[in-house]
Amino acid sequence: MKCSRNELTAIMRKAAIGSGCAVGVADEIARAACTLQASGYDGISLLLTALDACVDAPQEINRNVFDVDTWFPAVTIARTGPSVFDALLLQSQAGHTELSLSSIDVPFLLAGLAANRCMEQALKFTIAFSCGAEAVVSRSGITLEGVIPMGPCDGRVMLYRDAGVTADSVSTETQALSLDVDTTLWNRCAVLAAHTYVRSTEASRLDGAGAGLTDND
Amino acid sequence: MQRPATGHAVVKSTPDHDDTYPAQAPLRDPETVMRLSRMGSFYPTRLSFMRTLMRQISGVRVKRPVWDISAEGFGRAVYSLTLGRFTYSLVAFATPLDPANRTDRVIAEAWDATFVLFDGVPAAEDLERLQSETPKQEAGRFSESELVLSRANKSVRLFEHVTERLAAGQQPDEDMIRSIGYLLRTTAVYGNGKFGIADRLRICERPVLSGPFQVELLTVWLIRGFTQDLVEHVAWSRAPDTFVPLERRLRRYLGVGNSTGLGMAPFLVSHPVLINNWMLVRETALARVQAIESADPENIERLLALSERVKAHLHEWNVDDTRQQSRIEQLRVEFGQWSSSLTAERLSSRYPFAALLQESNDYSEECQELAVALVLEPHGRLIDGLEECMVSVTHPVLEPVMTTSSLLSLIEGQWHWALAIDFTDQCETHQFWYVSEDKLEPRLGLRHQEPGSELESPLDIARQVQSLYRYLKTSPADQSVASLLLEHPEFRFATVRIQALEQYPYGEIRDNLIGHNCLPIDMLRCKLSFFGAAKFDPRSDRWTRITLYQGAPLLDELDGDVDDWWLPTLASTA
Repeated sequence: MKCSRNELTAIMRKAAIGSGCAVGVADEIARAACTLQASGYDGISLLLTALDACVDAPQEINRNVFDVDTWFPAVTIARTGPSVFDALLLQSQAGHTELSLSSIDVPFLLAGLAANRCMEQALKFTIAFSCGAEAVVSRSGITLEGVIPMGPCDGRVMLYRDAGVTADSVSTETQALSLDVDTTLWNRCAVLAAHTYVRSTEASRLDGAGAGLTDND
Repeated sequence: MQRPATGHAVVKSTPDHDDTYPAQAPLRDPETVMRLSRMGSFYPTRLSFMRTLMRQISGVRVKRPVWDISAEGFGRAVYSLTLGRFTYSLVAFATPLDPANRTDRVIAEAWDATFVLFDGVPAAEDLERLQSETPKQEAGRFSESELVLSRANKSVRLFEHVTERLAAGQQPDEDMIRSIGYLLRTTAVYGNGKFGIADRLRICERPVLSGPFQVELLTVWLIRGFTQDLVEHVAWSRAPDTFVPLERRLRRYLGVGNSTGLGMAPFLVSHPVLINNWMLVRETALARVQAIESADPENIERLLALSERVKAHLHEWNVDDTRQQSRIEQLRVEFGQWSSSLTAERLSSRYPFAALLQESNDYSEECQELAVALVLEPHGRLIDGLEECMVSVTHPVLEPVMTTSSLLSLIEGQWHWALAIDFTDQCETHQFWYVSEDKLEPRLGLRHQEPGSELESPLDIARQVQSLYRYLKTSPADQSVASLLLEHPEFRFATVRIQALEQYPYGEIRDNLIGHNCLPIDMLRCKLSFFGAAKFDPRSDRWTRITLYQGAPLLDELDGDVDDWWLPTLASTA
């Protein structure tokens, strides 16, 4: 089926929330997955894998992650994926522009998250995965050398200031607008999204919207 | 749009402006403006989206290449117009509707008429596809060739009355026209990618359509033209020998109705940058007018005439809702008192508009906001063009480097209204916003009586900020936001909003949206006023009807004056 970017982002966001993601994280990973889809990758599958992985993942937090020795353990994308880039930006203030990551559950979603940061700020990222693949992410798009990395694997994210653009420059829209989406994957998102809907009752049907049931005036 | 340090909105020069910023009084405080009660008192202004659209399409010709409508008024029609190098076509389908199924709610599954705005001129195969999908609305699938999807229901009384009268060679009853104001009312106008239609990205850099909701409101304007052609066609078909066309002044007075419910309210919360820009532009326009030291004689004359029109408009505005009717009646009295000082002599004094607006503060917020809209109206040369700053292509961005102590300072400095709410009081958590499984209809529930609050939509901004604040007060002082959110991703949403408010001061409604006192109707009216809607007709505290394009130019009137229809009356449209 064909769908729009906005429509796809919206249903993936709801799917993420329906799977238990925090709203702010759901916002970011849904946009990341949509960016990947629009760039020709299977962003929806990656998102669904991340949501599955998140359910069983232990909540391991390393409070030393922001020490100078930059080591970010066990990246559960649907929980701490956005924090990878928060950490890198923070470290970059002290001149450290590289972050090592271990056991990334859905590694290539990092490229989508990186792409969104590039659209927000004048940044450029290189993500090297332990399987040998490497992604370069800038406002111009995502370039992958090697095969799409499957998780879990380790990786390194490197940040550069993108001298070619300024933070407020108009974004380069190189991605597709109308997207081809596998109906089965769409339906899986819809099932998860439905976890955010409240069951309808006769009372809510009558009173919840603030209007009557017929308008023959 | 970011608020510059100077407090001036960034605005591009237009041919009527020189390259320097006009003088400007201080902006009104967001603490004053961004309150529900005030937002629920807003009026349309000359910067409202319908007004700016009409100015932009001045001189354009509308064609009707397809009119395949039966004598009973069912079938399809196409209207086309060209803006720049792009042609757009409204494709309309009118279908029989069982009265038992006529509902304006989201849960509806059939309508009197359905529409798409097509990007280009539809070929025969496009029309066949759209004829199959458009009447299904949310249950249909659309393509990026479609830019807007909409539907409408008849005002059964007025449509039949106008048909009968025209068929009998008579004009319709003016009181009935005045009290209803439209033949059909739209019940949804979907844009930006819904159900497979084109994303806004497709059109966001095109002429005319780059501004907020321009493509949706272009669609609604074309729908208005269709409704008037439809009623005349049915009347003519009924009695071609006695039929007379609808008088032009009545056609002009007839707008297109709109029923709006809770679905519109969350938009104001989920688009803080955009809302900031809308508000900032409006406030900047007001600040410019307040800074006028001596009024132009032409504008004085215009303001005095508009003041009389306002009185007539208020006289025509009557609703069933007792709360709003009471406000209207109070407003009639207050506006009469306030405007009694609107004299040529008074307006010739120094800083007349600042003084008049100051005096309006003695009256209700309805009266204050009406005064704001009134003084903006004659000052197109000073404020037109500001609307270019209403667009937003960005969303708030997290600053992970910020320390939690700085975050705390932001909360204490700008969110004291949120900290002051006692959320242990059940009144303050009385309501919850949610999406029903019933055709995904947005609804409001009573938290302490109904199930489902664990699935509430995140409109509880004040509560989330307060929750984060309490956590921060007990956590290590100088960790980074990045560190905080690694450990507590549940605070990410609130953190972004707190940081954003510093940059976008008009981006947040400064009230408790889940409290007993929250009236969603206030949010609806705010947004609709930016569209340009008037004659708000609340049907409950969460549902309203409005009239759009009342008094606006007709499809064949874009060659004339397209800009004199603020708060229209039947007399002013003649």
